Amino acid sequence: MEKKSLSLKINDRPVEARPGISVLQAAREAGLYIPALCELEGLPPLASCRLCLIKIKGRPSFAPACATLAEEGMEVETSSEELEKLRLTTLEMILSEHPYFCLLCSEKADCDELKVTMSKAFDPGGCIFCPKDGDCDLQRVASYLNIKKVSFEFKDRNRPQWSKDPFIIHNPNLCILCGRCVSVCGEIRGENVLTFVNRGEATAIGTFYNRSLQASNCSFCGACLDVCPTGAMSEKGLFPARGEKISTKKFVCPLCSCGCELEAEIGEDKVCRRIVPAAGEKPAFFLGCVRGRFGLKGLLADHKLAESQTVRIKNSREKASLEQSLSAVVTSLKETNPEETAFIFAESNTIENLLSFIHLGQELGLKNIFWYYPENFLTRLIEFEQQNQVGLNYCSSVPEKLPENGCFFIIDSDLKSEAVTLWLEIKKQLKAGSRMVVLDSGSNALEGQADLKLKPLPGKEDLALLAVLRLWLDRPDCLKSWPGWKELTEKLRHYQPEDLALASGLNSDSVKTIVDFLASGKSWTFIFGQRFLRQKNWKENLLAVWNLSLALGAGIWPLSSKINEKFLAGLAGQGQIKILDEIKELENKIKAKKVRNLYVYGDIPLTEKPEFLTVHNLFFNSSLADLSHVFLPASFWPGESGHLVDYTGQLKESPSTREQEGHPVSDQTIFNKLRAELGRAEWSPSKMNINLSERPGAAATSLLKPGMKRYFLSGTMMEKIGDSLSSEKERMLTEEFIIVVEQNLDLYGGFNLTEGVPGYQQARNPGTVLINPSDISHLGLEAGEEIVIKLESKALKGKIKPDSGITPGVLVIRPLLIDGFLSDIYHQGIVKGWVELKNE
Amino acid sequence: MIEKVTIKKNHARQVAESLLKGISPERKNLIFFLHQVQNHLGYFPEEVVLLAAQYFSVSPAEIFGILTFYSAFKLNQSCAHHIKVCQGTACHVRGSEAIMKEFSRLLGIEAGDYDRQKSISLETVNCLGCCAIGPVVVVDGQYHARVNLKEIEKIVAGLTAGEKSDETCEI
Repeated sequence: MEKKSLSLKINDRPVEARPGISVLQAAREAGLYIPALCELEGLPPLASCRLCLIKIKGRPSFAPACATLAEEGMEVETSSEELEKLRLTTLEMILSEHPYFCLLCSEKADCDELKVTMSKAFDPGGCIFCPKDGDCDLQRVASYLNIKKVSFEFKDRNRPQWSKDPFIIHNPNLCILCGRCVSVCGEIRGENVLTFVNRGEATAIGTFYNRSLQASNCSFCGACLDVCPTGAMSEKGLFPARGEKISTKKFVCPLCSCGCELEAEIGEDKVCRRIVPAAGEKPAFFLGCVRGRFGLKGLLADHKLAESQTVRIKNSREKASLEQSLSAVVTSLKETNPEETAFIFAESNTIENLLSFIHLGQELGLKNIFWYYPENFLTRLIEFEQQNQVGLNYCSSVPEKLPENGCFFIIDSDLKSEAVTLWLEIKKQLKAGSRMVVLDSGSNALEGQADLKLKPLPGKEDLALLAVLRLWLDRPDCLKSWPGWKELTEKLRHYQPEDLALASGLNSDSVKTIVDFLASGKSWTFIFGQRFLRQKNWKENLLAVWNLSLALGAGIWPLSSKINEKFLAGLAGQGQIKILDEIKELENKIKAKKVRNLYVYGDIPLTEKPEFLTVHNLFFNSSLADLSHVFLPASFWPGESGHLVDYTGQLKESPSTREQEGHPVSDQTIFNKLRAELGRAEWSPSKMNINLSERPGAAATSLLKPGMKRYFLSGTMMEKIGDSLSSEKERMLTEEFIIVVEQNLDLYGGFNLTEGVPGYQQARNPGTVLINPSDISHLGLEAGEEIVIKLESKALKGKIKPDSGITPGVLVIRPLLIDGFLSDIYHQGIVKGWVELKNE
Repeated sequence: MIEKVTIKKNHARQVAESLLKGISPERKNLIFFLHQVQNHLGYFPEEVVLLAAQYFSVSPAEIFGILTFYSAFKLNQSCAHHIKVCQGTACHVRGSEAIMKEFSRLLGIEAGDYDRQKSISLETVNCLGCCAIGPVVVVDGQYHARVNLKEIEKIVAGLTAGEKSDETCEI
């Protein structure tokens, strides 16, 4: 808590205020209301609406309270006849371009019955049809000022709505040009899609060359919807909730490691109206992204959840009672040898449910309890630590807060898509003067905001980092005190930084620039994502980062991208579960009859069918569910209470509010029913020896000994450098490409958001292939054209999208892991391919 | 036709790149650069804006906002001939409104519009800083002082007689 140290007088009342806050904030904290339409806590003051004008003793003119800092001894008047008159005129001017008839209407209280306002109002038919009705700042201010007339002629802007984009509609006729959306889009989110265009009367909210949001690379985070004071920015398909009773349900989003707290609004018809970020402390920093907001809404709204159990009888599927289905499962479990029975689960579920499932498997004496985890991110970190006796201290080193005024070196991690909450924190620091370097061989939406960006060739990140290290080791500010410095320096001295840089695909100048830049910044943190460790040379990558971070005295922050990852990695470390990173492994076991009975909790891209298959999932839509002998509907977790673990290792709670009628039986009940049939006692997660109130992330590496800090370079690394330097090859064919396989998180319980949610594909098409524009012209292609990429074993189809951020000769794809082949190339991280040329 | 377009595109990029060579990438130099592009290229194709955005570390959307804010910047390929009619106070009282109307009548276009065929654009400006010689009309950078209605026909005739190609801009 900061110290309150300023004392001022607002309306003759003594008020204490923290230094650095505005008069408006000070007044608000003291419980005073000053009308304001453009100001929003967390956003920089714009002072454009002029409604918060106040009078300060000793100053000749009125001042906007939002842009005036509170000062010691200040005497402020926030309300007087003069001020209210001024505000009223200002509001009249604002309303002269915003349909206002409903706001003035004397019968507005009875609008629902009388509907008279409709005939008087302009498009969109008055407040009654505006999605913001009842939650509109303009309505609030109008009623505060008790406006009775608008003395200016109404000017109908008559501008067309933006309606071609998915999820977001902009109605320029309702816009009061407060600039909140422009601010949040650029300053908070770092998207920079929205801007003010034109001037004077013609001023409007616009985009680059008036492109659609989609063509402007909008990520559809929805922040503009949260901040808009009127109905100018509204969610597509959202209707006003007039008179309807809306219930809300808070939950934690399971679609990435952020675990954003969201809130579903459910109407009387039990349909999800919309999903919004749960109200936090600072509205402008609202979390959430397209997946949680619009993706999950699509799932909740359209009754896509599986509702009933089905059993496969010969070749047809039939509905079955829960008892029938469970007894079929129990019979199979009893009949199959535990050695040949396997349990497998996906991580996006509550910890309670997962533990209950794992525990059931353990009770049955199963040796094969798998967590399907294709990234293998944490386990590789642990392996690296154990092999080299160093301490990345993964879990304990992750701070809950970023270092103040720190600098960030981001490697192969597009935070905007993989960990938006962390990005928002970093963005805040960037505004306060922090610096950011982005090194990425694929596509990274952060590059536009970076002070420096480096584009090595895919798979050559290690060489790029070594080139930096090689130069840094000779600097006086290099930390030479850790053991191994001399040896490392001697080993690396065999290589010229220029050669290393060139072999990594960078030019030697850029490496020198980066070294100078590193020297000029303080407290660096290296942040890297799963893509960095999904490459063949992940060990070399880690080695290079490790040594560089030591030399710089920097922190390392490995960033997981899957929810609950920290918790489950701990269980894997304790040997309670096994990690399955390649689906092929399981398929081979099934083929060899080593796994004859399989229980899948969640969804995995498996195509091989064992002798008995139980699928327990939210959706009955994958081919796996169709193959199953018994399908059990899972309980959808937003309706369920439980905990999830985010990327910092913190527990996030989905509170329980109510049980829906007709809601499937909870998963834990199902597991307990299975236990009962198997003659075992009921079990609940509280019985397990894991204290859920503590940071479960700490459990993840509790087995690791604290590692040493020392410089080192492995023998294989030395060989590899030698190979990479000598095997420098020019790209021979224009159709030959290195393909970076990036992560796509638009899949939940086997449900493909892209296919299932209207508009989602427009916003995020998993079939998009990013390519450098120069390659498009060399290949004689056109943007948007469909191409076929031949890989060693199979071919891929995709639509090309030019992106000048991609290195020539590189393609970036983001496939959804819906089959074994795609999982396989995802697992490899970087593959080679050829674009099939058309023969004309 | 397609070839011609690509040549033009490359040309625009080359012009912008060579202009950037003399300018350091600080944000404060952005407007200066935009003026240079306007002078040398006459308009702002998207790729030039993208180039500038990258160079000055400003978002493309923000530059677009600047371009649409100032009337000095043109988004579309402009015409070979520009007619600017001053509508400042001093010119206004000396009849510049009638002069504007006469240009409109003769060219068949409104202020702010252009005639693609004749490649003439017509616009108003709000004071050129030489009120003493008003009403002022600027034609292709040349100032015409104390313009009267009769002169206008001559000016327009002079422009339509020898038509220039629009690809003459060079650095």
